[in-house]
Amino acid sequence: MKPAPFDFIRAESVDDVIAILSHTEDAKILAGGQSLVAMMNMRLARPSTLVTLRGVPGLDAIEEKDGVVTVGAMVVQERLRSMMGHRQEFGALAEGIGYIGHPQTRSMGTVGGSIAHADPSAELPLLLQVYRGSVKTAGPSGVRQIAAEDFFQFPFSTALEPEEIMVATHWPVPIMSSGGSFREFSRRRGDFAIVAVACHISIEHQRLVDGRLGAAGVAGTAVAVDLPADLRGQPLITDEAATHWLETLMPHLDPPDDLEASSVLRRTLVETLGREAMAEAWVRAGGGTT
Amino acid sequence: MIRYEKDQRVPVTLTVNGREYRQWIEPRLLLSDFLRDELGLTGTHVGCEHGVCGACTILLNGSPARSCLKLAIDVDDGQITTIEGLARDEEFDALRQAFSENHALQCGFCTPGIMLSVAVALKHTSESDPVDWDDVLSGHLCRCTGYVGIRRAIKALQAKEGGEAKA
Repeated sequence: MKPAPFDFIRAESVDDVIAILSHTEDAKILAGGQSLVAMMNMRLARPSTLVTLRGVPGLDAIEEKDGVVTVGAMVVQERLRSMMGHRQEFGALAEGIGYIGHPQTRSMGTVGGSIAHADPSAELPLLLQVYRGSVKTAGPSGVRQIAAEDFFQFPFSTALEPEEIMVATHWPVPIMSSGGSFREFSRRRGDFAIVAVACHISIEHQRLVDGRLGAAGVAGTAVAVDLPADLRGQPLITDEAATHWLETLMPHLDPPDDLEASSVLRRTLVETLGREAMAEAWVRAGGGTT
Repeated sequence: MIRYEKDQRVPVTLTVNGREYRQWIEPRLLLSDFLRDELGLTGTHVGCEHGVCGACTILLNGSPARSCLKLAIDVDDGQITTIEGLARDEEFDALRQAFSENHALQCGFCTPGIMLSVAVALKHTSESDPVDWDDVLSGHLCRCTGYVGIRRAIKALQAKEGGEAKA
């Protein structure tokens, strides 16, 4: 279990990376390597050329400006988790990152790497959709900003062009009175999710004003839907309201049927975890029980 | 930018357990193999080689990491601690003692990785931010102890330090 041989390039700028990707057949970008090197060890991936981002300045910053948190592609997952741990309005984010692998992989795995990898059961692609985030890319024709829902296209494929690199993700800051919850089911702690669910809720004057509900592991990409318009202004997430919200998510699911779990089990899990996540997000947002 | 061909030997400098090493390696050499085969530090064990089992865990710049998921060339200039580093350090006498006294190992294959993860987690624990030991230990497969002895060892260490025993 050793990687097949490859040429290795230490890029020193984003322009370097774009030039390499434009002129090299089958080059792969190396960020934290927590998925890519594992795939190379198993020879599921055999890139001709590996470009490390380690020497590219400016990709490991976290900045907040004009209501948007910009997370550089090379920010490691554990760092984002500890930064967001105390931000109630991003409640599902730190909690969800906690489900990625183990502390020993989150310390090296990057936010950008996970999102560019686009595993349909991964946590960060789901979270980016739930928080209505977007991806900033750089390529030969300049910079693009792509909304999360357009970015993830199929399992392990994104809207990134072959010569483009993702440089950051943008996370719009929700209003203060928001709460979130993340639930995941897997056979063992740290395994890939069989189903993961994230819910984000904003309230004003004890009434629902906004929300997002999403799931991973149940379709080719993570999927998320807005709070249905007719639930806006409700003073509580009742059972009927939860059912209604879930019903708007269900048509987007196409759960796989495999040795890990049947598609029926996956649908049931979305429902069960979805209800739990909604109730918890509501309480965390400051919603009352009467 | 600097480009290296696949069969080219590339110089890397790594500080391992406080000692600086400069070696010429192929780009595809894993950090785990660098430590074992180039430096002869075989305390770092290689199990699954795809990041699941945790046997190859080392500390890279102070953070626990899978050495089988890092290319040696990509951690050039890094600071690495392996189990051999803990063996020499008096600071970890208590940790070794606790593992021994509490039957925290049997065959010992997973032990180097676990001890490094536990050592670094103990360092970062505080009353306001207690360690989630389930999370830490989930990153290591141990097929002998059922984790009972390992948890007992952690508990004993925390009791000794007057910290909160949450294991």
